[in-house]
Amino acid sequence: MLFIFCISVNGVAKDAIVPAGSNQSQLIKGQVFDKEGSPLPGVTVVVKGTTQGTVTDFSGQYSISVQGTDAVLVYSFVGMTTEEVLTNGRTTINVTLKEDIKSVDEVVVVGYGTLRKMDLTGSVESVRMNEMQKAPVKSFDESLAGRIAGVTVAGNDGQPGTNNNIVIRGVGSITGSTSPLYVIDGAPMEDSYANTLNPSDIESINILKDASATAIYGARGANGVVLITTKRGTKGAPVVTYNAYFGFSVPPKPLDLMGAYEFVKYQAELNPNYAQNVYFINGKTLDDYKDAKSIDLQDQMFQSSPVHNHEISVRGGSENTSYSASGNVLDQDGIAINSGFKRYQGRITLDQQFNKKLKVGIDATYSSEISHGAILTQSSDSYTYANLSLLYSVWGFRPVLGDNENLLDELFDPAMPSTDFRVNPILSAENELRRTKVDNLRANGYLEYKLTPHLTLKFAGGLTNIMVERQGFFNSLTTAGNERRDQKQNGFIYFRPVSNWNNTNTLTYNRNFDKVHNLNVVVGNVIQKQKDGNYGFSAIQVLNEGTGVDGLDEASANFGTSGSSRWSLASFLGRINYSYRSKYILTASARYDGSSKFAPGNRWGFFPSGAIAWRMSEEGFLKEVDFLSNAKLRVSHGATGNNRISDFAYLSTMAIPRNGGYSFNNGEPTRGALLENFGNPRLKWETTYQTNIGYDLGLFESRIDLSADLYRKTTEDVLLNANLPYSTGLTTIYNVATAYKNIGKIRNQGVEFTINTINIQKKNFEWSTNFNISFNQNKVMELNEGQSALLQNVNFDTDFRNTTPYIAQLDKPIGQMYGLIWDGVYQYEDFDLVLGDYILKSNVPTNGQARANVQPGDIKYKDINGDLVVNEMDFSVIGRGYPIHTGGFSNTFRYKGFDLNIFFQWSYGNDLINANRLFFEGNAKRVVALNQFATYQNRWTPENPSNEYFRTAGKRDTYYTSREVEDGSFLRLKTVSLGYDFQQTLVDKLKLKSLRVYASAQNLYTWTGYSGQNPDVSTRHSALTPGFDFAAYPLATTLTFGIKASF
Amino acid sequence: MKLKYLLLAISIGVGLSSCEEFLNTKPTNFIAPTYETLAELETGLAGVYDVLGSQALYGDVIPYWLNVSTDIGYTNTGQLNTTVYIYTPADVQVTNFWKTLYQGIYRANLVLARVDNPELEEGARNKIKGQALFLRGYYYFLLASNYGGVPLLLTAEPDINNVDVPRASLREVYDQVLSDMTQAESLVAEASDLDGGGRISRSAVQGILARVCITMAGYPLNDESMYEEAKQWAVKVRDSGMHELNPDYSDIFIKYAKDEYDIKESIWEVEFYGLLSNGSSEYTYYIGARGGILSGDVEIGYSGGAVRATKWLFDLYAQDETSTTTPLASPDLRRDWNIAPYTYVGVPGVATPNPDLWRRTMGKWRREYEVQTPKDRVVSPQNFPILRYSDVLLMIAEAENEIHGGPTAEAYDAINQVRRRAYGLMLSNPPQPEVDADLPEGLSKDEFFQEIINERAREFCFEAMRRPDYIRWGNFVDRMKEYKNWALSNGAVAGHVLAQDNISERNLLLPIPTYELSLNKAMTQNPGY
Repeated sequence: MLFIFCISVNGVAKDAIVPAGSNQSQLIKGQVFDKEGSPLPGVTVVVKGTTQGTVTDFSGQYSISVQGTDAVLVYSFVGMTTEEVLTNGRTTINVTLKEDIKSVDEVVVVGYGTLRKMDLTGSVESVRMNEMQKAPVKSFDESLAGRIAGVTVAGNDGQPGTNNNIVIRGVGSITGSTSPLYVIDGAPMEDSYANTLNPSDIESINILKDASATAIYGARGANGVVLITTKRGTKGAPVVTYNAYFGFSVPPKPLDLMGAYEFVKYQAELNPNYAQNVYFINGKTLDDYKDAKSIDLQDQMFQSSPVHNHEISVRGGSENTSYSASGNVLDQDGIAINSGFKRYQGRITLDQQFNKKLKVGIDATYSSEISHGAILTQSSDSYTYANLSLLYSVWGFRPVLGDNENLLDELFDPAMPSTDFRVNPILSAENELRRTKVDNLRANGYLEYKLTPHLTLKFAGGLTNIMVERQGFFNSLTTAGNERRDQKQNGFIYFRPVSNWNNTNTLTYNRNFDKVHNLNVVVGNVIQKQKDGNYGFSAIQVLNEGTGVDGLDEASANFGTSGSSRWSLASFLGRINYSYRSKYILTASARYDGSSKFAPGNRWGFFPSGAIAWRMSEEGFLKEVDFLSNAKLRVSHGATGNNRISDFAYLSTMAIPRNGGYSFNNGEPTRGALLENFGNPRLKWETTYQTNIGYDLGLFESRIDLSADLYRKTTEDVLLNANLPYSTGLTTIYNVATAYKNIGKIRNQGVEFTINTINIQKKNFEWSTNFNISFNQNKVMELNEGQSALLQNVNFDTDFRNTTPYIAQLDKPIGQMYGLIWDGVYQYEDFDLVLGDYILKSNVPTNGQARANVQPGDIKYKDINGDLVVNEMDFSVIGRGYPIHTGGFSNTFRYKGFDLNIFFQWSYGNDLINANRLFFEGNAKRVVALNQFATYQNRWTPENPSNEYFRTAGKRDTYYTSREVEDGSFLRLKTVSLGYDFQQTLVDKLKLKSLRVYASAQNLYTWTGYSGQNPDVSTRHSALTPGFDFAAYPLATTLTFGIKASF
Repeated sequence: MKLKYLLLAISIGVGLSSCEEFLNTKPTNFIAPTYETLAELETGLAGVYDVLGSQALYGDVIPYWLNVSTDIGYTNTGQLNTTVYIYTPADVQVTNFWKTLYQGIYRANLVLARVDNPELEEGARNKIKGQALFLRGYYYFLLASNYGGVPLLLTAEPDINNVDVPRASLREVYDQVLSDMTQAESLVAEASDLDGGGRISRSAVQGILARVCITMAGYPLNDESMYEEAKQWAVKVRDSGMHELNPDYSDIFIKYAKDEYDIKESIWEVEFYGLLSNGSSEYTYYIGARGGILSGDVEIGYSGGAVRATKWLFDLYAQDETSTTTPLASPDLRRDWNIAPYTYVGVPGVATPNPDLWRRTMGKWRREYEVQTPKDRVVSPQNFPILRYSDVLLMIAEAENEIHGGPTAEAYDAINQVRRRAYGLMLSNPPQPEVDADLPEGLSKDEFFQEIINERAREFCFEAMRRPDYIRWGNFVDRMKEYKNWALSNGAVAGHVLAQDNISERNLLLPIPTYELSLNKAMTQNPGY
């Protein structure tokens, strides 16, 4: 679909009066500028009263021949006031167009069409692309945070190639996806595939937030919709633009680790035997380590790394044809060694007007992206031991070696038992091959036919083909492939083809009656189908590790995987938008959706919405108010759905996995048919009812624009992939006991404010500000009968897998952190001294260990139920995963050719679980030879009765506690960008159309109380488990320098 | 105008064309749980057996994590974890054990729900039914003896909307165990009709019923009438004529290594199979990663040597005071098999005597006899016994002693059979034909019971029997404290008695997993956790 700003052509023939005067033809030349004096390309210049017209070229110049000396030229451009100029015999006419404050004809892309902005009744917000595109990022999701009220972006972490989690107006679902629906050039997709789009190719991003706007997306609209429209050709001479930037990423400050002396001291306390054998040989004592040099592998693991990006585009068109082509190469090394992201992307569009009635267009985008490098936060194995993750080995690396040890070149720590899988992380990271390649081809086409001047039929269709190829190879110098593992050198190659097609047919009626009634009606139908495949194989015990992935077929054993899945969706939709004098506006929309993901009988859902808006500023009594340029009240209500669960969740299914079965009589095992999914045939949609009240206010010719929205979203029949007690026996081959259910109700309500101001507007200096803030409250309203809470575990370490650090409770928000309340450290006064043994006083609760085993210096917890035994009955809420408010603050300054943009983003009131502290601030698993954070030097000892850090080995449980929960609020100086546009005179001399140089910085500084490296992480992200930080890939500060030229 | 209508027609046509059909997507990747044929029922049954060999049961957790540390063995890792009874209800091994047992129970329920299908041949399906019933009973037995009374899950369609299922009483669980197993007894095959001890035979059912009954007779049910039941079941095995002791004690374990069967001795064993390189995942971690003769040589068979025998166990075997070796030789051939007198040093490994009686590794499973090559480093395909005939005999002896308030001739006969075999007297060429292996006549009930306690240690050490034995005998905690004192005054260092430091009354039962308690609100925790 073609959704770029329409160019409005004023001047209608029948209204014109043919002027008298000379009939001589005369050529008039000139240039059109905006109020700042910049040339305006694309301005329509029409001789009034004729159909004769032209369009200004890139430098704003035009030429047009007129009859006579007293013709009237009409200059019009979207968003600008239309000027009429009498030629009066002149041959050169330069014109300056003013911005049209009321933007009468500005149109906004909405679902299945466009609407005049002033006729909008829903909550639709446009991203200010010119500001956002200044961030030097690979994909739009990285720069979206803080730009739009109500849109939160949770960073996974800085792993090259990853995308962020975008959530609009709070999480409405629990285990149904909470991500919005992405509609890219009309094709609805459930994943953003953000990496496939070069941010520079994006024309507009509109966020649909309320039901009035999203209900037309029916079953998939509940989480909001992100409408992305890419750039297409523009009328006029071809413009070639080249843009390139170079720069580098800088790792954050390393964490403070224990040095040599402190480490040896700690080891001597933890395991005297080990310390003796490694550190206290050849007569060495602890004091000998006072001046020993300390090794810190963080310096070797992280590096400054280059990034460069080149893009070239050509856009142009004639009266009936417009075209564009663009390409982009991005190469970004990660700050962790041997990691990075690369993208090659190209795109073409073509639009052809055949005649007044028929228009056809196509576009195609191809992108190939490769991300590589060890994944820091997740270990490589299907079973998860935290100690297999690279950062664990980096932080935990021994800072000092024993005598005759040369650890830095060795894979294994010779002083470790051979059953310990820890390896030298630097060697492993350098040798590990892990590469994901995503080829994405997206093609769309449309045919638009005007049945009558007001009735347009449009057939549109699109196809997306994605091939994800994952390769891994782990040679003998890696964590996963070394000689101590029975798999030996191993690897895998997997392919995941995804094909998705849609056909969308709409009939649009758009008519203005008597200049006061504006009616826009859309009806249509959509079908969409997706097929996913998954095939490939893994191999173990590779014979020749030099051959890498290519040698996997010759390995001792290959294990193939093959499978596929699919879903389909069929829908009917309709919307009526009626506007009376653009004063009273009414919208009603509905969609009837059928999804294959549910059992017959539960497939179809109906999603209606209605909205009204009242533009008070058009009322007589307010028209007189000078400073008021716009005032609009919007009210909407409607329903949307969410069907995003696995394709066949309603069916019970069995699988016959390779590793499930039993060998009778030492024969080839009889495969077992094992539970794969316990189906729930009664599953149905999740439905969200949303009410929105919005108010838009423009003051002083829109120098100040205010927008406030109040919303309440209630989601019913929430889809939950519920954890089940193991005693149901429903543990599947994936080793979890879960089933999909529709449970209860969740409510999100909140308020959003956006303020855009132009603070100073002088000829040479301009300062404008954008500020937005949003508050969202989330509440669980109902759960299944008799249930008062849902608990969720986090998969990051096997030993911690069986406690649930997150809870969703009735009348409380979801994503709360749950565990024991940490109560300091047991001190001597908690004990009676009996025959030389410290016996816990009978009125002091235990910490989960047997009473007799609790000793001074051990970690202490609050005994909530007063039974003097601390266990899971004493769990309580220890943190909130979601913020109280989030927002962004952006300032743009222009001085002559310079422009400066400074953008802050924040999040306030949310907590994080800093799981790193479990292992590195007290060593919860009491692992030998694991270095600790420097803070743990201050642990409890008889001489240092710390109440903050328990004694060596003083925590012997796998409970999450309030000790690891930290305030995750932050304010981040996210983007700073300084640019300079060279003066036209110089540019002309260089035979260019424009020339710009710029410097940008991303993630410059963060103000936070969080002790980890980045408060904006969620390494095990789901609606139930926000803000979990374990071994996150650190967030880099990126500095770039670029040049952009058009010719 | 014609084009106009054509376009409109296409639009409507496409829109309405059989939407429901379009939405009928079919899964191609998996199958429905119908089990309509005997072959399908067999795949279901394989799933019921499958859990036995998983890491969470006999692959690792039962022999190592839950049972490695008693008075006969300990682990050298020095780690303060489950192996030394440091755990909370969130412990991963404790949780996985629970989870996997219920997984097996559900799989059995699914087979049982489909097995009574009149279209299938009755004899064949009844064999499947018998095995599924027995295994369900056995999994409940493991649950009951480790966790106490637990929720009873007897359906293939558990209610996912009402998951708050309370405990059944311990007695109710045991009743279910007895019911399942006695029903199974008449359905399964005779041992003589089977090739090996991997499948459940009637003898296995009877022998395990004896174990269940003797457990019920002890702590905590203390239903002494069950000694009689236990004895009757054990006698059925003895009198079936299908079982006898392997004359060579070491050969029992060499056979496991060689993938050979001896159903006469090894009545029920967990099957492990294959190598990683031939794609198998049916292996145990207990032998290799954990236990075995310490060896870094993969050709011989790698072992981390993490499971060590205590000196107390060593001393439990009779010594030949006339021998000139250090330590003194034992007429009991089990000693130097169960406790490795040497370790393999270097690569290629050289068997090197290990004189330190506190640091000898378990020698019961020896990877040098494994026949499949190349041997995997830390995992092994050796089978693991659940029920050996010597256990049947010792249960007869124990039950007889309890029933009659002292040992009977039948009791003596049973225990002496085990002892004579141990002393090599059943071999065709006994190393010491003159040695007297028999217990002295005229022992009191307590004295005889003490002999049972010791004999079971000598016979079944490292076979995951010690902790449950002490628990049912009712003296687990006291005995561990007593042992600790003995150990520390007999050359042990603190690291050898980490477990005994931590054992307290609460260890008579495992904690109910936190995960279970969190999700099943009707569940309650065991005392002390």
